[in-house]
Parts: sequence; structure tokens; C-alpha cells
Amino acid sequence: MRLVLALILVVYGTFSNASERFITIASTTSTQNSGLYDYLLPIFTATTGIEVRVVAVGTGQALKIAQNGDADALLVHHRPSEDAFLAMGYGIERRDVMYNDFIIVGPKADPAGVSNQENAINGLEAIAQHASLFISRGDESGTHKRESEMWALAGISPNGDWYREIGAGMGAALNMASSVDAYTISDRGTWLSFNNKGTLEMLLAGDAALFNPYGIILVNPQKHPHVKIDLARTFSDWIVSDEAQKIIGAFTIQNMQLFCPNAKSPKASDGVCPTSVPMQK
Amino acid sequence: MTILGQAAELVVSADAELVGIVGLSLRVSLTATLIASLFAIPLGAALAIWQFPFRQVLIVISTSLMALPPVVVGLIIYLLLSRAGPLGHYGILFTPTAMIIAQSVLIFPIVLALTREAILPVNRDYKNLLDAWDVSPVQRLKTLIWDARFAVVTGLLAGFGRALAEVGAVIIVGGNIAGFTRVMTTTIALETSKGNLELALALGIVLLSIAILINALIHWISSFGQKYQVSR
Amino acid sequence: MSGLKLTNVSYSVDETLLLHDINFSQETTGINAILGPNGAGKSLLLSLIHGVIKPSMGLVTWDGISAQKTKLTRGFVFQTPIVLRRSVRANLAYPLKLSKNGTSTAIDTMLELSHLAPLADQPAASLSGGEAQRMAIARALITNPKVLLLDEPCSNLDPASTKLIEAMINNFVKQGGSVFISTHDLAQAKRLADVVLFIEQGNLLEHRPAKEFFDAPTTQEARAYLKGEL
Ligand SMILES: Nc1ncnc2c1ncn2[C@@H]1O[C@H](COP(=O)(O)OP(=O)(O)OP(=O)(O)O)[C@@H](O)[C@H]1O
Ligand SMILES: [Mg+2]
Repeated sequence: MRLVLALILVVYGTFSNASERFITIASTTSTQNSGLYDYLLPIFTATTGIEVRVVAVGTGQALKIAQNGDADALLVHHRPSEDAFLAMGYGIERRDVMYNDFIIVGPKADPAGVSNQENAINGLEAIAQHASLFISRGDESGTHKRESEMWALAGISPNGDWYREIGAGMGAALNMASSVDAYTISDRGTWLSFNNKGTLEMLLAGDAALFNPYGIILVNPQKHPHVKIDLARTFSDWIVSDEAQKIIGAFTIQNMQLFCPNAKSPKASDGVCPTSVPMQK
Repeated sequence: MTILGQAAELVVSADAELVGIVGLSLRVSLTATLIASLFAIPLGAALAIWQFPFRQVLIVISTSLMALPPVVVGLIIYLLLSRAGPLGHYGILFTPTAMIIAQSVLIFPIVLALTREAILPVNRDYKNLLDAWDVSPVQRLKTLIWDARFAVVTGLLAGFGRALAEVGAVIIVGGNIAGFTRVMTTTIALETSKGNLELALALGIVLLSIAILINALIHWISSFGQKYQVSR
Repeated sequence: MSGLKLTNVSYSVDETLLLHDINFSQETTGINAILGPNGAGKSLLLSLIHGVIKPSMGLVTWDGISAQKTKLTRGFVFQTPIVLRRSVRANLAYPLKLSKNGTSTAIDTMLELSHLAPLADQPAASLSGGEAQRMAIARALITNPKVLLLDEPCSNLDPASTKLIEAMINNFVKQGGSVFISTHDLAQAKRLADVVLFIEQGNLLEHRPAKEFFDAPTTQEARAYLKGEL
């Protein structure tokens, strides 16, 4: 009995109470998995004393969380959904934060010849034509939504044995693609930080259709009076500040830049960081 | 070998982040076990001892609840705790408290059923004797739980193990927030999704070692009393 | 109204009548032996007398008070001893705590009396049948009851243990206690009993001083039982 009590004391004693000044941000797995937050947020907390709690889920679920008022801000990457969210009045003050791009990855052998294609749409056509295995997130995430839009642009409604919807995150999709030699679409950040590539390679990138912008939205306090709008706005102001934008631009994995800050100039073509992201393979 | 090495390294280095994650896992699951036990042990014992209206219904329901997948428990708690849900104004979604609630609900039926099973044989032995002594209901509960304590503790342990090992519920209601609601299992899920399979496995081994350690400890404690347990 | 009184007591389980309309009263003195063949209803009668089960019909009273309300003033020893999953000492301590009647020195006295002192800290579950039986009696005596109810306390015991238990019984009676004991050992009944209650198939057939019962049983059944033909 005394041993058990001692154990409990040890376990509980080592924990201090969490700080009172915190905000919750609903965000995407891609930003989380890349390690950006681990790198960025401690700096924000150190300067402002505000703790940031990131709940990283698919964009669809992140929107839902914010819509229910379970987060104070939203940092996602699917513009049409974000606009709808703003239009419905759930969010206010959207700002561009950064972008990177989507890429098509697949087995090194590249049976569908995706790497020879001119653009992403052609790449998908080739995959469908060869009925090569393709892993789709199938989870209403930003990446999945973008993938669906691209199939639509290609005029293909993908189905058949070769098209596998797994209903899981980016990492799970990459793990699966790597183990069954399939193609998939990933955001560049997750891809670069992914550690189980196996024979997978980046086959196609640099198409404007693959532009992947991230924006921050504050949850509307008129819908949810309990949200910490002031703290959330402090964060929003900070992340688009020159200081934070520089930090984002300096974040690299294996000497590759993962995100291009674009709070000042929201177009990819504006050339905020044209050289640092290798846009063409 | 490299994975085992990595696991050992993780433990030896006692990296602050890992210690925090392990500590939170233990804190959440221990608290959940204690809370679940607070209700499940007396109720489980009562189910073993007394006949009362709806007893069979309760038993069937609680046994069925054991089959409930953690994600479903997580989802229900999520909907209750969400700002849009009935308990939203407490603002405890995405906190360790929410994880404790989810795990308590998850393991309640396990502790309940195992307590009932632990008490049944002791009650069968003791019933006449306690009746002859006019033992009050509360005293009877205490006596039976105490004299079946080693089996009851085994049930607690099973509940604790399930709590410590589950990921589905805590990831939904906790949100896997770094440094705040990230526990061992959600870390393993996250590292797996990042393709860090070796790190994930190493963490899995750490989790397993902790489980073995705790089980060995409790087993060791209970072996002191095992001799009293022999039924005639 | 002093002593034990049964008025029109019947006991049945699921329509089966196991004890039929039993009536008797008995002063609480001396040793009363309950005799009868297997399945006659001896254990049921003892349970009813103690109050651990409720009659389906009729009344069981001690000094005018319903038996069920005064259980703790009597000690009861079941046919198969029930041991608590604790040490021998803790087994004796348990009823003491319940009744608050008696002191902790009583435990050591009882352990000595029942020759269990060397086993005091053993788990009770490890006791032999005879030792467990002795412990059960010691446990029943520890709260200083006025009446002791014993259901075949010496079945399966060796002569020495039987002698010891009989000594405990006699000692208890000498101090003013009264005993109800069921037994199949007729020699024991003759040694101990002042009064005999003879039951057969749920009927109380004889209730008389022991000497009279053994010398001149009045019923056919009792005669057959004593001859070993029932
Ligand atoms: N709960 C019960 N349900 C049904 N029958 C019962 C129950 N308890 C006792 N009986 C029956 O009542 C009868 C009397 O039982 P009891 O135990 O009193 O016999 P007994 O005289 O003590 O016999 P023995 O000498 O073998 O101990 C038996 O036939 C037994 O089967
Ligand atoms: Mg009997």
C-alpha cells in the first residue's frame, strides 16, 4: 500500500499545472508532422508568454473543431473550405501565412511514367491509364480535397482496384504507398520530413496547380463568446510579422526549405522564396 | 537490435520530453483507473452479492460495454465535451482531464466485471457466515472487497493496462497536443505517421517495459497475500 | 417468556415443505442434542433457531424476541466450517470487532483454549479440517455468546480433537452457557446431552430429557434410528 502511494506521489508530484494563458489552434497534420510547430511555437511562447496548443487533424476535422468553438484559431490549407468557413461567419480575419506545394510521389521504377509528364493533371491521367496503384487519403483533409479537385480537372472519376482510399493521414498514406509501391499525392513538408520513404521518390512537382497555401483564421467570437480572441489575434499578428515569417523561411529539413512565408505577397509567383524551394524536380 | 538499442537509449537518456510523455501517460491512466475503480469496485461487488431489480440488465450492459471500441468512447466523450455539446461550457476538451474521463468510461466496465468475478467465489464462501453475524451491507462490501483484494487488484491492473495501451479515445478527446496531451500511444501513432517506424517501435518497447514493470510490482505485492486466498 | 420458543414453525423451499409445523420451547440451560438421520432437517432447524434463515411460517423467539434480531448474542458453527481468507488470529478478531463484546486479550485466551496458538499467524485456509473446526468454535465463542449452536462439530475429527471440542463445550456450559448441537455420534450425544430433540423427515418427533430418550424412545422412528435401521 505504501509503495503504491509512493508511486502515485512520484507520478503526480512531477507535474506542475498548465499555464492559464494559452490558445488552442486546430491545424493540419502536414504542418505538425513537418516539425514546424516544434520549431516555431516555443519562440512565440518565449516572447509573449502565451502557450499554443495545436490539435493536428485533417483540414475537414479542423474546420469542424473550429466551427464547434473547440479552438481559438485555425491554420489549414484548403482555400475553398476556408472561404466557406468565413462566409458562414464562423471565422474572421483570414491571413496568408505561407505556402509550399503538393507533389506526386511514387515508386522509383515509375511504371506509369509520371516523371515524364508535363504537369500534374497529365501525371494523374498516366496513373489512371496504367491502372497503377494509387493511395488516396480519403479523409476530407486539405490534401484529399485538392486531390479530388485534380481528378475532376483531369476528367477522371477514379475507381477500380488500383485506386485505394484509406481514410487516414498523410503519414499513413505514405507508409502504405511505400510498402505496396503505389503513387500518392503529398504536401512537400510531410514528404521531406517523412522517414520511411523506401523506394518512393518525388516524381512530379512545380506545377502551379499544386500550389499549397496555408492561412490563419480566427474563430469568430460572436459565434463563440468563450474564444480567446485577444490571445489568438496576438498569435495571428505575430505569425505574419517579419520576425515570424523569417523564422518560417529559415525552417529546413536536410537543407531543404519546407515552407515559403507569404504573408506579404500571397502569390507563389511573387517570388518570396523562388529559389529555396526546388520547384522543378 | 538497433531498435532495442534505440529503446534502451531513450530510457537511459531520460530525455525530458520522453519523461514528460511517460509521466502524463501514467498520470492520466492511473487517475482514470482510480476514478473508474471508485465506482466500479463497489458496484461490481454489489452485483456479486445482492439480487436487485435490473441486476441482470446491468450485468448484460456492462459486459457488452467491454466490447466498445475506444474510438467510439472517445467520440461520445468528444461530442459531450465539445463547446457545441452539453458539457461544452467547462472547456475541458483537448485537456488531460478529458482524456481521464474517456479512459475512466472505457475501463469502468472492465473493472466492474472483473471485480464481480473476483467477489463471486468469496461471497459464495462467506455468505452464510456473514448472514449469521448480521453483518451490515457496508461492512459486508468492505469485508468481501478486502478479502478478494488480490483478485480485485488484478482487475484494476487489467483496466490500467487497457487505459495505458489505448490510443483511439485519447487521441480524439486529447488532440495529441505536444507537451500537453501527448501520451505514449499517441506519440507512437504520430511517429508512425511520420515514418519514424524505429522510433515508434522503440517507444512501444518503452511502453511495454513500463507495463511489465508495473505488473511485476503489483504481482510481487500480491504474492504476499496469495496464501490467504486459497479457498477450501 | 424466557428461553427459546418455536411456534408453528414451517420451512419450505419452492413449494417443498422441509420442516413441518414445529412447536417447542426450551430453557437456555445445558446441552441440547438434535438427532435425526441424514436429510432430516437438523441443519435447517439450527439455522432457524439461530435466525440465519427465516421461517416460512411461524415464529422463532429467544426470550420473546425474534431470533433474527439477536443473532450476535449467539455463536453459530456451520456443518462445514467457513474460514475467512485471513490469518487464524484475524478470523477470531473479525466477530470481536463486529460485536464490540469482548477484548483483544480474548483472542489469545481462545487461541490457547483451542490449541491453535502455534498456528495463530497461519492463513486459516491452510488449517486441517479438525483445526478449522476448532477455529470456527473458538471464533463463535470469542464474543461471549449466551448460546452456542453447533452443527456436527466433530464429524471427521480424531478422538483427541473430539475430546478437546467436548471439553470446550463443557467449559462453556459450566460458565452458564447453553448449547444446541447436532450430531450423528450417539455416544457423544449420550456423553453430553441433557435434552434430545429428535427429528425425522422434517417432523419433530421427540423432545425429552436425554436419559429418557435413550432408555425408552417413544416413537417407532426413534427406536429404528437408535438401532441404526433408519
Ligand atoms: N436450500 C434448499 N433447497 C432445497 N432443499 C433443501 C435446501 N436446504 C436443505 N434442503 C433439504 O432439506 C432437507 C434437510 O436438510 P438438512 O441440511 O437440514 O439435513 P440434515 O438433517 O442436517 O442432514 P445431515 O445429517 O446430512 O447434515 C434435505 O433433504 C435437504 O436436501
Ligand atoms: Mg446437516
